Amino acid sequence: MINLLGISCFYHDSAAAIVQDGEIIAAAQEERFTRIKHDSTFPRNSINYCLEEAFLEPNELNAIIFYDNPIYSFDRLIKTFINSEKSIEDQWCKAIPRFLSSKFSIQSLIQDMLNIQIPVYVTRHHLSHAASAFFPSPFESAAILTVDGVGEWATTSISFGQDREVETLKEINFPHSLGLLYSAFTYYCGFKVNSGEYKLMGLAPYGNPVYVDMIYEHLVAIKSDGSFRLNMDFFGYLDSDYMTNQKFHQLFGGLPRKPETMITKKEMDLASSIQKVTEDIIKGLAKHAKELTGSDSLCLAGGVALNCVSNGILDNSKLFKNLWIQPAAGDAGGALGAALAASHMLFKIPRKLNINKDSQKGSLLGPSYSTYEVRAALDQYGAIYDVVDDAKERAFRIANAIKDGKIVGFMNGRMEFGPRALGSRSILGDPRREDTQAKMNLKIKYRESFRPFAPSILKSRANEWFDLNNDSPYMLLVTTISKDKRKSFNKKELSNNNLLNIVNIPKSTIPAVTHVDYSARIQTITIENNSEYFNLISAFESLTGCPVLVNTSFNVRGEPIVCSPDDAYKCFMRTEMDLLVVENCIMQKSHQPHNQPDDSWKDQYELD
Amino acid sequence: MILGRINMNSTRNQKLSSHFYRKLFLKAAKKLRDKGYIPIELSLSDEESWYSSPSQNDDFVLFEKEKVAEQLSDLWSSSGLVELSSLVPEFMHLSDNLEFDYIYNSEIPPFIYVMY
Amino acid sequence: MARRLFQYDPLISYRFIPCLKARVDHESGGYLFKTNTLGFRSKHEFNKCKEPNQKRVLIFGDSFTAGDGVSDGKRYSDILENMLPNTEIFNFGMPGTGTDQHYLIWKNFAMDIEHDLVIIGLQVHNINRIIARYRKYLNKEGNTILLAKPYFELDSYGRIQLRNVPVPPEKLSIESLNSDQLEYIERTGRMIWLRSLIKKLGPSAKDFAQRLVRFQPLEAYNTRLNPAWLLMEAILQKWVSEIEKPVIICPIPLYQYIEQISSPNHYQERFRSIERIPKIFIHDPLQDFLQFPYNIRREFRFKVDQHFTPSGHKVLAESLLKSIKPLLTNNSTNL
Repeated sequence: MINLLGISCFYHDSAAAIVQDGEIIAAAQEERFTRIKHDSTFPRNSINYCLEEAFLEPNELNAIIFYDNPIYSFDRLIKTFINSEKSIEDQWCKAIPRFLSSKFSIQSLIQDMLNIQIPVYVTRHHLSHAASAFFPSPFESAAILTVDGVGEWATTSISFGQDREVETLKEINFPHSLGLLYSAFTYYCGFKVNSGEYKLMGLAPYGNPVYVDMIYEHLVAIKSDGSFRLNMDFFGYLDSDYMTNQKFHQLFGGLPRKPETMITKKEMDLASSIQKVTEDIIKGLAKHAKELTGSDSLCLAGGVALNCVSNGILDNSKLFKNLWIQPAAGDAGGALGAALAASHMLFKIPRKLNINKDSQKGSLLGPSYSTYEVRAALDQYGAIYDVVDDAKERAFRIANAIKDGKIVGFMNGRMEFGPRALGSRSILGDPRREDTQAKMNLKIKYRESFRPFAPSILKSRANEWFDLNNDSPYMLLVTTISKDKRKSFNKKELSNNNLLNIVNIPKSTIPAVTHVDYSARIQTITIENNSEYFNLISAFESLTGCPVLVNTSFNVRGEPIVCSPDDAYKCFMRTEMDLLVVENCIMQKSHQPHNQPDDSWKDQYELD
Repeated sequence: MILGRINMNSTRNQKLSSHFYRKLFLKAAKKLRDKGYIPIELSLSDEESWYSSPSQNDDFVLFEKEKVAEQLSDLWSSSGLVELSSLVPEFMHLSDNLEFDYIYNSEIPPFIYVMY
Repeated sequence: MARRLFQYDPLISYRFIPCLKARVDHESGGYLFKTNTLGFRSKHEFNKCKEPNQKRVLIFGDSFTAGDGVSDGKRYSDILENMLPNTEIFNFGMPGTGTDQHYLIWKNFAMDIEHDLVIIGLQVHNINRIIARYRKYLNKEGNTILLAKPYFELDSYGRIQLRNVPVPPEKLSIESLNSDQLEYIERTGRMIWLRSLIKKLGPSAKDFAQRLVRFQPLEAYNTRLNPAWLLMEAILQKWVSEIEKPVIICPIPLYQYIEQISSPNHYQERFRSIERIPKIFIHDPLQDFLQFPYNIRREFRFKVDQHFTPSGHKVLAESLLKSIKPLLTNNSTNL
């Protein structure tokens, strides 16, 4: 048995993953345990969990694989400083100690924790991403495209995966980065870099792509082979703490939007424009990947692969017959990729391919909690709950509550690996009700969001409700709602700056999950992926005729998705959720002691 | 168990880093730039922006802290960047001298359990 | 945070959550364990009846017996089980508990289980626990909390009377206790000034400081009339009276005795004095620890955590084997 532990950390979203003889056993992000969103520290808790799940002693590990080569990352860091003719001592004094004390110390941090001498390999950042996308995919061979901010020197790579090998064919290097370009606009539009990108994507449908020409004229040059270069005269990330600089601000007519201030038409148009540019670049890169490999299948990873709008467009383009995207496409997934790459490429473990099913296990790779553990936790809080052991009865009881407009916190089985809640740590609601979106946003998430929620739908019914070509088990594709489900609305509203008015206009028979352009970030559910969630949606369908539920992540704003029963109960009690389901225990808010919402979380979590 | 954490606000760290930057790094950087060395490719006009694939030797590298200096030195010497490779011992010296906050869990009295 | 390990128990105060599969991050590099359906750290389900020709030993104790710091298979009970043919060992060890709670575990979970021998792994520090009514723990956020525990008091006839059951489940803060109640928080050591000093100096300074002041950790053993010892004696007497099979009481030494920082004379004398009680066999393993040179003895505990390392467990198992073997061999009938 070859046991390999993969680790990613010290940039953002640290994580660990364990792979036994090429089979994924466990993977989790550190933030879920420390309750610090995007925690980038050494993933001590995640490592502990992975060894727990595999029930392995440290001396049973054959090696530990770090997802990134610190030597090359340091080389880039130093050369970035050389590049600057102005003094950037402040940046130096922040970056150099941080680097020297983290990435160069990875071996001693591991050995301190596990109290054992063990081989520590480093691999390449984009090979980790590529391996995370190819090896779990159901493809015998595939083109692999990885696009992110930066890892070592590379920002983009095209590889070819076949059997147990991944060969990197071409790369684009720093500072020319689609991820950093998108982050620059994220920053300029007043959202947080490395976490607000999905908000920018959600804002895009409100705007018009009026700045596209300006972006191509001044910021990005796309070549005929799909590669691209950025004009660094407009960006700040080479020699300052900011993504954009004065020249960028002049180009777009003013300073960046201040966070939490009103979003204007300008931000909507900027979001729409950079989204269009991103889609163009991704299509160009994919086209070149196709030319290089001749493959019918494409695998995607890297932070940009979380742009599900662009993924949906790529899927619809039919450039590739098959598409598979790693659900933990960001750096957290690098831990998994590093372990998988080493399993197959270094330790030569044969790949067990199932062409009908990926080997990501529904991305349910995190901890689960037994009913004993759930009850031990709930009893500590004095929670009042019913134990409903019969799965069918449970599903109907929850489905009935949702039908009646209740908002339900739903926790079952193993936690998801990756940024999306897929029905194991989710907040659920009725998509048909016009008030669901506002209620979930204001009373549960405590935000005023312009983004609709995502729909989970039974896979067997997906084509009746959405224009979907492919399966979307990981909520990574955006598609449009079927024409017969749409409702017309006054498009003039879109010129209105008040997004909250627009978002609350019913645009379909399932308004809570329909965006202004009739798009939806869809998740398809099968019994194999998550039987408990499948049973619930099936029960809801039999009660209502609607095989769709609203699915949003189980957390409040700024909080990582809940992991344990304790986290779930605390989050439930902090919000105006009506019902909490943790495994076979069902709780009604009105029955709980001290059932007044508690605002203290707002001090605990930094808003995203 | 000892948990090492870098103290980012440490005056000593700031002083050591700043000294390194001013006394060693700036000179080396200027020398390199004066020689016409281009550390980062910024040109927009190149027809192709792809780089050919990295060496497969870099796919998996056994990482040992004691060999970091040697690996960095080799990387920079092989590219003719003697100004950088000659700084490697100083980088290692800086790394060894940065201040960590040490947290001993002996702060927690014996026989105490995490409960509930 | 890591997985929750314990659940409330109205009699004992808490037990392991049943059917756990857990790993605890620890200076040893971490340790793995599972619990059975009753909530004890054992690979065995505690079936009432034995298989024919099978011997069975029940072991009680605190974290030293439960095996804090070491994975399943490396505890002295597991090592003993491997050394003894056709013998299964049921480990009822519960971290952070005292001999009073071990007796309650016996009464509530073990007394109906068929067995040939009982071992009470009595960490000598337990004398402080039986007089405590509250104990300090950490919550998941890392803050200190107090939990109540069951306790016994001696009545005017010298009989033990159970108090504080059902144990209140509420978490308490030190501030919420009055001055009388504060007296009953378990003492984790004397010389507060010394503890605060060594915190600043680090763990290796602790040994040096304790040697310097000839640290005597457990003054309750100093005289046979000490109230804590009288209570201990009464609990053991009552417990043993309910057991039909032989009972080994094994005073498990603190590291200060193993490393000869402190004198064991008082506690050894106290435990020798109860050997007069029928069925009790005192097995003192200290001598077996002391036969090793100091540098090896230092390896019997972790660098910071005082619990036994796998090598400490091995020495204890080998020591206990000497007393167990004859009792299991000869014990075909009740004593």
